[in-house]
Amino acid sequence: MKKYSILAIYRTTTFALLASAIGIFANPHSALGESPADSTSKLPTPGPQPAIKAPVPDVVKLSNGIELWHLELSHVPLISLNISLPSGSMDDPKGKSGLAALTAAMLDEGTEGYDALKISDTFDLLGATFSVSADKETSGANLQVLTRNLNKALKLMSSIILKPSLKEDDWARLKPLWINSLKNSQVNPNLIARQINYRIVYGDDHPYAHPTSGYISTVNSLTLDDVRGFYSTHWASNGVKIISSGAISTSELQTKLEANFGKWRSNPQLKRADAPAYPSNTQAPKIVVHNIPGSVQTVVRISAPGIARKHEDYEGLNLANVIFGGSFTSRLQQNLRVKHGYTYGAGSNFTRMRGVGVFLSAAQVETKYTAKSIIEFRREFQTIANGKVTEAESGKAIASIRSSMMKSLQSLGGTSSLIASLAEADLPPTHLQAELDKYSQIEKDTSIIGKAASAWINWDKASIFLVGDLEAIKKTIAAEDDLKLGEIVEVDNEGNVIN
Amino acid sequence: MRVDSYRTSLWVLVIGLMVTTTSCVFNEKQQITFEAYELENGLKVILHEDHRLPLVTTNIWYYVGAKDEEEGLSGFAHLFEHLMFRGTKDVPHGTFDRLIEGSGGSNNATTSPDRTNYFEIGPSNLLESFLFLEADRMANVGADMNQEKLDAEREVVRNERRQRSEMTPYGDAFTKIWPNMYPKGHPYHHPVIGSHEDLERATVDDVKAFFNKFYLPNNACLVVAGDFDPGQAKGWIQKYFGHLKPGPLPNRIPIPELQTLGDKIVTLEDKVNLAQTQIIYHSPKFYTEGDADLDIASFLLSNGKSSHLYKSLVYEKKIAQSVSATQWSSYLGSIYVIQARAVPGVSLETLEAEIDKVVQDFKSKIPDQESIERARNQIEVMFWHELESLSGRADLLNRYQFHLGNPNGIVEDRERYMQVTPMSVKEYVNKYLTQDNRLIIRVLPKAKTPPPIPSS
Repeated sequence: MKKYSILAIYRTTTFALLASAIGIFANPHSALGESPADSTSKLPTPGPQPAIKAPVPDVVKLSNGIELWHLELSHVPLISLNISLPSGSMDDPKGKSGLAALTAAMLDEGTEGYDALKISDTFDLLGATFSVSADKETSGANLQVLTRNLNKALKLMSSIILKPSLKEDDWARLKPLWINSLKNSQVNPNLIARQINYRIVYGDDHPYAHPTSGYISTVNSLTLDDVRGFYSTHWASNGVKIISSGAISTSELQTKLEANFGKWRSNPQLKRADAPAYPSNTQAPKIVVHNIPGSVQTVVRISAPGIARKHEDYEGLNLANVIFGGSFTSRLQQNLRVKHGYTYGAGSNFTRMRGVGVFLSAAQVETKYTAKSIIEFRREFQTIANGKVTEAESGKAIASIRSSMMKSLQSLGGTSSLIASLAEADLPPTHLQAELDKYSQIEKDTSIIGKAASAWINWDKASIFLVGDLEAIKKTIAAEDDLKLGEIVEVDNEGNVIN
Repeated sequence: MRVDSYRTSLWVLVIGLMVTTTSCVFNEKQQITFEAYELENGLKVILHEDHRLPLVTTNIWYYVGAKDEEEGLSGFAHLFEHLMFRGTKDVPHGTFDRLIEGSGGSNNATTSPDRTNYFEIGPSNLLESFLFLEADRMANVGADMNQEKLDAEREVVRNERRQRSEMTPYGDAFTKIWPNMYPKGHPYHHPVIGSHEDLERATVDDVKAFFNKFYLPNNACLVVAGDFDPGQAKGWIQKYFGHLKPGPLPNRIPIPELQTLGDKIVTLEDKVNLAQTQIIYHSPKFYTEGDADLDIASFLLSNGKSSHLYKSLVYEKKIAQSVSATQWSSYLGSIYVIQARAVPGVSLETLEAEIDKVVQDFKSKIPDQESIERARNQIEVMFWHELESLSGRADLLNRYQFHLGNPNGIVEDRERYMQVTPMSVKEYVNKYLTQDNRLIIRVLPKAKTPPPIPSS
């Protein structure tokens, strides 16, 4: 077994559907015969859609309050287990961007009786993969392991999380590696775009603004004491959720976790931060460019406020997204790729957050078509905002969301991330079913999709971020009289305004 | 026994392992249950049932890849793969995707040097639609090709090339591997994505000729996996594929001898901050002697922090930002790539010398048994991950049929890793990782760009 897909190239890389929805294939829907183009009588008509059931994970508590969310699945002899704590880079102190991420990275550098090499060897021998990382809202450790080796793996995992060495020589090795990794990614137009986008959209002071991996300057100023401080404040058991799936019963897993994590201390002083709000009065400029002279393509990212998972429009908007840019037959993909050939792929998605994430539309387009692509994005924003979606589109969206859930359930990783989407958003374990009911409701009144689209997909609130050849981009914009975007704000590769 | 899967003419019905546990579609030895047969026109069929979820997938491998392209038409097999979605008279452009996605399915395709695969996955009521659509394009894409379709898709593919190569740091270096490793006229002389120049050159006649030559039922293998009734599936397969006409199996491009590379060095500049070196060796064909041993060697060299290369270059000497040793195995021959990025201030010459030192040391000793156990356990888990999804299983069945002439190749595949010993690892790294026959591709940061990194 080897990974050799590097040699194979794909037809398309569409934006993944949000694997957050589930439904029953209750009402057969078929797009057949709805378009005059499909006039052939040879096409088979699919039979009734198969029924599906939403899984409900078990939720139990360890003696120190840690919640375990588990779904037993026995098709492979593996277990996927995430320890998730609700502190992330949104908790980085001012001027210390990157602290949550570097703290996580320091954890598996050593624990009692184990240095980094021995930790790595031990997990390898157990047939395990183990990692510790942080993102904007959470930090956590991920373990995938052969069920037969779970005990040994949990013991080491617990030691790493509860008793990390956090030693000077490991820090002296890790920090320059981290900085070089930032230097390495700062030449990748796509990574630059992804990293800076938040800062442009949310504004400098918002907890989501800075990249989780930090800036070179802020990482440079971090010390091992900062890491120790962040660890002792945030790596405590309060609010921790363990999310898992795999070949073990809930009660057996609970016993093993109690033995390994039941004594994890809590930090009474720690008040976990609330999910931050979307900036209420977005001052983001309409168009921002990072200049890469000679770039043959422009990375286009158009951001608008999204909505929180718990918002009542969430499901409707999720469906609108499938129609807008979340499938190959979506309007964006059909327009920018299939009709115009400006790009290899255009799409849209929601960044799922506890708070309000970004509703992102994106494509990487040939430089000379930069302005024309923006015009097509605008056209699609304005068209969907009129609230009209066809029956074929709404049927597709509902069927897609439902089957994306089924596809997620194929693997333990996919299953765990479905469960995490509930647990981390403080939703009840039965919520997959509730969401499923909501999709069935929408199926009876698909106008909800159009209404959500016109309420939330708004060109006037969107800001455009481009990474590409500034002079060439300016020329394409100047050639389009109709495109009035105002003054271009130029930023460097960390998002600092430079003109 | 190894069967050349191109020329397998006798293909008897094979019933795969039947397992007793109803919920289990493969056993602890990871054997996948399947049933295999062949239509009269030579189309191979493999069925794999799994009713855990109401999903079904179809997966077709056509035995044609970038290796089968004519000179001057690099990238054509992949461009052709895109054109398979541009519609036919019965299924006009757009209908294929609309039909599948409209009912909750999805599809994609990939092209490698060796083969092209097309796959669909979705709710289990879509199986008949999947089969109809795949059969329709296997029959009609060539006849219904026109200039407009070709031109439109060519733009998409050229943007794909820009995105993969020109816009991705170190992307150009990747495309330089093939022309430098393989002599002119060799099937692997060019990268799958091809060149803009060659993509521009492709004509409608080229598309039709390629279709007629390679897209034959007797040059393909169809896997159906998931929640379906086998009797019904067989009926549909016969109905939609049974009438397609077979053709003469294509002659393959003759393979010129590999030339000794010497210690060949190619140097490029790119918009990067860290210099990169790739040291590339020829290695054995996929699934042939030494292939598994070199895979294990990759684990020992660069998987995990205590691996030889990582520990020496990154952990101890701190001269590399990253290092990996990987074998990219293919049907006609493989390459073994050691890739490392230098920490700023360290020259590639220094980095390469240190890599050589580690590899020389590795070659001179017998690796310890436990390190091989670690690699084997990691490989076992990789197998399980591949087996988790229907798509993974369908593709594995096709891969084994293609390479080993037997869908049940997982048994052989696992066994060959069990056979690897410390001595065999030593033997094959000494045989293939030789300094007098390799290519080095260096990528240096371009002098002027990127702009300085801000200090605030």
